[in-house]
Amino acid sequence: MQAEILSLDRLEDLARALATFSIKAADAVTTMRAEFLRQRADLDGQEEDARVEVSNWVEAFQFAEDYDERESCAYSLSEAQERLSRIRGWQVRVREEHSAFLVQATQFGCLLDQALPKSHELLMIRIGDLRTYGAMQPDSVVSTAAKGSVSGLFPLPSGEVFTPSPVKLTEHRLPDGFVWVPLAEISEDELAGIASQAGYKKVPYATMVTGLRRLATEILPRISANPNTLDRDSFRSLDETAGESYEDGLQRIYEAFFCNDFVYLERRRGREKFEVTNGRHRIRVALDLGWEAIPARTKDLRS
Amino acid sequence: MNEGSRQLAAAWSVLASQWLETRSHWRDAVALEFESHCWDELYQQINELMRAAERLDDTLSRALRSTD
Repeated sequence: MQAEILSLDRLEDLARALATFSIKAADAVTTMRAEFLRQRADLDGQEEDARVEVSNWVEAFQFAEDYDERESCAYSLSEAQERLSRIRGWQVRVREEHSAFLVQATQFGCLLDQALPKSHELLMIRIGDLRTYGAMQPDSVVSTAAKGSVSGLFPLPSGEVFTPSPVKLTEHRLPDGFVWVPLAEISEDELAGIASQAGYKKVPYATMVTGLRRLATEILPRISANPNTLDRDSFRSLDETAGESYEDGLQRIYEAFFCNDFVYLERRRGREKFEVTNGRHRIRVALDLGWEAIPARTKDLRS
Repeated sequence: MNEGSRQLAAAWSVLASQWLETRSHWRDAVALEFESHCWDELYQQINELMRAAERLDDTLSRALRSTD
């Protein structure tokens, strides 16, 4: 993976700024709508006043007692009618501009509700990639300071602020019975049949990528921090707090790697490479993500 | 300019400054994708909204002034 960002801090700042903008912009548009409605109401109030004035002068004209009074009423009535006509002309123009504004405000609202969260997600994925990359490559272009700044900045979906330490991926402790197996020690022949993303029938490729990313950034640091105390229930509890379904949550990923569907590798006597009994697709994704090793159970008869 | 427009302009100014700062440090394919798919759309949309708000604000102000 090639990372061309000089400071992860800047990406994090942008993600935060985007989230803040989204809230402030929504508030601003609400204020704009309210102000325009209030001003329109003022104009409508003037139209009502002008209408009453016209009506009053019509009545005054009808009950005028002499020529002079009638003439005076006629003049005032003419002025009132002209004012009413002018106001109504403005009302038409305002109505047109208001409709145009509402179209833009609605589109902008959709952008805030739908497109902006996706943009934020794209940023978070990139930050996650770089965080994983930085954890795996101590000498990468992501600076040590940048890696350090990652910790604790992002509230997880659960709302909990999690503080992973910037350690190498393979320095994370694994549950009992599991070891880090370097991908270079796994037979490439085993992965030859998984050349394309279309080959992922059981779990889609994108889902698996997300799973490995979350394994690296959300599950393994927790296991390292609480060795042998976390289990599937711990991650189910985190999912429930975060409002995440089983399909999208951490429990499923934890189970896939450390419960019922773990990666299982066997190395026969005299062989250099492991053969894959279970987990080919995950190993392929780990390679694609630039991982150096993968958590697995092994049966190693080489030595 | 009404208060809502001022608020939006201020929020946009902060975000745009942050974007320029980030962009100067971020030079990969994801940055280009973010710029073309996310940022440009946001930029265009907010400009259109601000223009529409400005036109409406101007029309309403003139209407209220000329009919008072």
